[in-house]
Amino acid sequence: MKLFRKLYMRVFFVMAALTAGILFFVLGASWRQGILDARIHGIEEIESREYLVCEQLRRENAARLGDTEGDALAVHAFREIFGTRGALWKDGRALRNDTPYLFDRGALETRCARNGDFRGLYAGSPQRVEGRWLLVFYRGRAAFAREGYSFAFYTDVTDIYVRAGRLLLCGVLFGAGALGLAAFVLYRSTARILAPLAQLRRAAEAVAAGEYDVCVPAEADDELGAVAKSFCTMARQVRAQMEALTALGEERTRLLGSLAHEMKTPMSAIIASADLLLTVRVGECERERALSYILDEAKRLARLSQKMMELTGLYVQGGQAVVLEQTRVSALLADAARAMEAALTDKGLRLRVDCRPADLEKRMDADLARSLLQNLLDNACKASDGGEIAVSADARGMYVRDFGRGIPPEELFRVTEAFYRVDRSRAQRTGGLGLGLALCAQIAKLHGWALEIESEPGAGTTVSVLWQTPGDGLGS
Amino acid sequence: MNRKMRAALVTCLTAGILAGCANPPQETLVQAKRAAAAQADEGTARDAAQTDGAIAGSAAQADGAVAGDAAQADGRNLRERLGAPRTYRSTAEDEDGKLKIETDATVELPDVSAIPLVSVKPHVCTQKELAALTDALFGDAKWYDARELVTGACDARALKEQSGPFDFREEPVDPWMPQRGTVEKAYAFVVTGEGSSYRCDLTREKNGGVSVWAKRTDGTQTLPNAALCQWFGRHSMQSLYPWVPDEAAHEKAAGITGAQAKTIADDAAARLGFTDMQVAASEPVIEVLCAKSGAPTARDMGACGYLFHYTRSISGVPVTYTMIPGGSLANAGEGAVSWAYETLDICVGRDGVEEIRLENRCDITAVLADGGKLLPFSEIMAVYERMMKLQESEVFVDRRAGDGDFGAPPQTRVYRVSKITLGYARIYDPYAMDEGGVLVPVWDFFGEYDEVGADGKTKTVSDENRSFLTINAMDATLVDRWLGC
Repeated sequence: MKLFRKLYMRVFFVMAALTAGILFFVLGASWRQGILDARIHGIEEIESREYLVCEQLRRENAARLGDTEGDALAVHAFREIFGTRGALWKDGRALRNDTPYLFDRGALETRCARNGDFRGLYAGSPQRVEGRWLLVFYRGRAAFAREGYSFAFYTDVTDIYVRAGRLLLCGVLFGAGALGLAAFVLYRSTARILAPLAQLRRAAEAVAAGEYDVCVPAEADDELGAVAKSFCTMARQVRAQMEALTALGEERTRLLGSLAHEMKTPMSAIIASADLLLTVRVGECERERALSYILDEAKRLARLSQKMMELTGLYVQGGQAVVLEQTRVSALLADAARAMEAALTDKGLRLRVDCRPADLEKRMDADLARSLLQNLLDNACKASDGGEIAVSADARGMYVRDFGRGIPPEELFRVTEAFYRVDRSRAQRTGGLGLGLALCAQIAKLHGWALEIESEPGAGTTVSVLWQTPGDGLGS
Repeated sequence: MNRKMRAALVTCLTAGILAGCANPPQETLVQAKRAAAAQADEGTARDAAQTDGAIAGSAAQADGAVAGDAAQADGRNLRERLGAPRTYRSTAEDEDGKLKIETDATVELPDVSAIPLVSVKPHVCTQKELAALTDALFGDAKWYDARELVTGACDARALKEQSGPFDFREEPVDPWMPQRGTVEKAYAFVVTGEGSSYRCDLTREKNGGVSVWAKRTDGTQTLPNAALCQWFGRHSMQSLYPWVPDEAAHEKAAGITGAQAKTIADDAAARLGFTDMQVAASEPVIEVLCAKSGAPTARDMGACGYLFHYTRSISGVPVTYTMIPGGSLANAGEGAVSWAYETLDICVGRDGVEEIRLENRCDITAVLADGGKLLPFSEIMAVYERMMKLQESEVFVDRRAGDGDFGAPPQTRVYRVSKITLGYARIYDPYAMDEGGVLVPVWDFFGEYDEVGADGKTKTVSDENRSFLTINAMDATLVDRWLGC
């Protein structure tokens, strides 16, 4: 995995760089501090030894002695106190050097004049001599109770370098070990963390291949876990959408099939009648009947087209066709009753309208809701032979009840199918297309309402349009 | 980013390598003496070869150069030029009254007008020289493996016979296996043609020299375990043990006079080829068995004899002999090389040569006629009196609280200096051994001292070969004879 390698290498590189940086910084600081401490200690040692020499010479009144005696005394004292770590000069002439080294007095004098402190003491940087590291000090004007003396003194600081080298080795070994362990832990952690990505990839490939039941386990409570959950949700939604689309497709296929079938009958009648008129000499009466038949079937086709357009529009536009507004239900009932008044009067039907509470309001598309009520009232009117039709509304929903023929129970579940008619022959006489309840069901679905049909053959039918709870459909 | 990371890594590595390879600025404030000596040798090797003709490989040439100088000098001898009296008297005392230095000494100077400086180097002994040496020592002798002798047994007949002197090779081997061939140290038992038997140790030193020690084991007065006996000065032993014979008894026990013994010793030295060496000091000695613990008794005393310490003499100036063998590296730093003084000690007794010790033979590489100016005697004496007090006052410091096994300091000491000499002492730099050493003129002060110990008892410590102080005659600095510098 490139992401894994990229991530792993970057983190490891940063860790290694940090480790190396910290290691060298600490070692460098330790070394510098060691040299500084050695320098300070060396200066203190020089001063204490110089004091001892001075005291010895002072006790012997060296300042009053002649050159020979004074130099002999100074050399003796210097040798006794500085031992094998100091070299003594007087007026540039070497008096004593019991050290293993030769000192360039001229260079030391120059450096002392340039870099020495106010006491005429020069402390140099570490010098490497035959594998040893030495700190060289030079006093240009020794305080020996006699004039003219200068001396060099050295401190062996090789152990500081050895210690630093040992620390470096230990640090490198420890750092390498720690980095190795960290690399291993990092490798395992990163692999474990990024494992869901591979699962996601496989799951995505499965979904692309059409397996919508796949789901990635979201064990971790992190971003990848959230992605996994989202993926599962997406897969479920895709499945649902695919199923809905499949169902819609099937329904449309069915609808088209039903439409084609429904169109076939009137078209056949129109063609037959027209053909008759064109081919056969018929009497005026037959001719009027044929033309009247053609006109009725054409109107029927027009109504079918209109209904299909309405229904198709609802299917296509879906939620976009619905404009929700706060609507007074009592007004809605009154409008629907007024629109059906003529048809009801023709059939001698009384309409009872009731709305409780009277100021009941619901969010709905008023036009679609009125179309729904009108279709229900129209069906109730067609199913009744006189009597009463009741339309009411309350907080639970709207109800249209007739006391007509009723619907056989075995056909209740199909009455909302497009073009389905319980009694085809009667529907043909009455001009029914079988689309009314399909239209009502779609309108109810768009609003999120539930359409329930209760019917008893011979007793009548009650169609309930229930508001349902908020959050269901667009009517909430 | 991968490419960028790689580029960054390569850049860092390159910068690090370049920084590491960069040469630090050269600061030559300090240089090892060994390295400086090697550089000096390279630069002066050609010069040294050219000056060989003028250098006294033998003393005769040096004598001629110095003598020539003397002829051109003001006609005064050394004593006159330095203002040195024949005797010197002085008394010095410290402020506490614990230390007193009474000097009533003869001042002995070589009868020369100048003292040149002499460069010396350790002599590298060749196999031929070793063979000549062993021939001179023992002639046609039979050599035996002396391993068993080291443990105390002394029965030559039980030992394996060797066919000749040991050969030394470059490669060292286990010194406890002195098979003929390759040895570094030989422990041998020698039986001469005359029937005399000697214990003999031959040691190849690290500087290429050879140390020889041979001790007679079949003398008439020889104790059992003669190889474990040592010779001690009669004078120093007499001050410690009452059973030590006096001078007359010693001479009687020795069966030979000092003069006679010296003749025998000179003859032995001549046979060994050391014609440039003469007796610098001598002392009557007694042989004492040191194998057991505790103080020796009269029963532990074996033979009596005379020990002659030979030193070389260059241009009429002898190398001053003292009891201190040198070569001590106490308080020396790392890298110091030990180099003891040249030693030729011949002990003679009733039966002839009892013991010979030859160590650290030197070669003279150069005699610098222009040796440098010697300080006047008065200045030397001023330094002597001051430094003698300073040095010997250390004896009264109570060190019992510190590290080491120190006794209670004495109450008083009175030094009686009876001899002041001017002669050569070899000094060298332990850290620049390759340069060799230099024989420089030094003043030595010999005598004895009386000490009142912490318990109130008085003792006299006398060793005629012990120098209390050694002062460089050119700059009046003290010479540490133990260290050799």
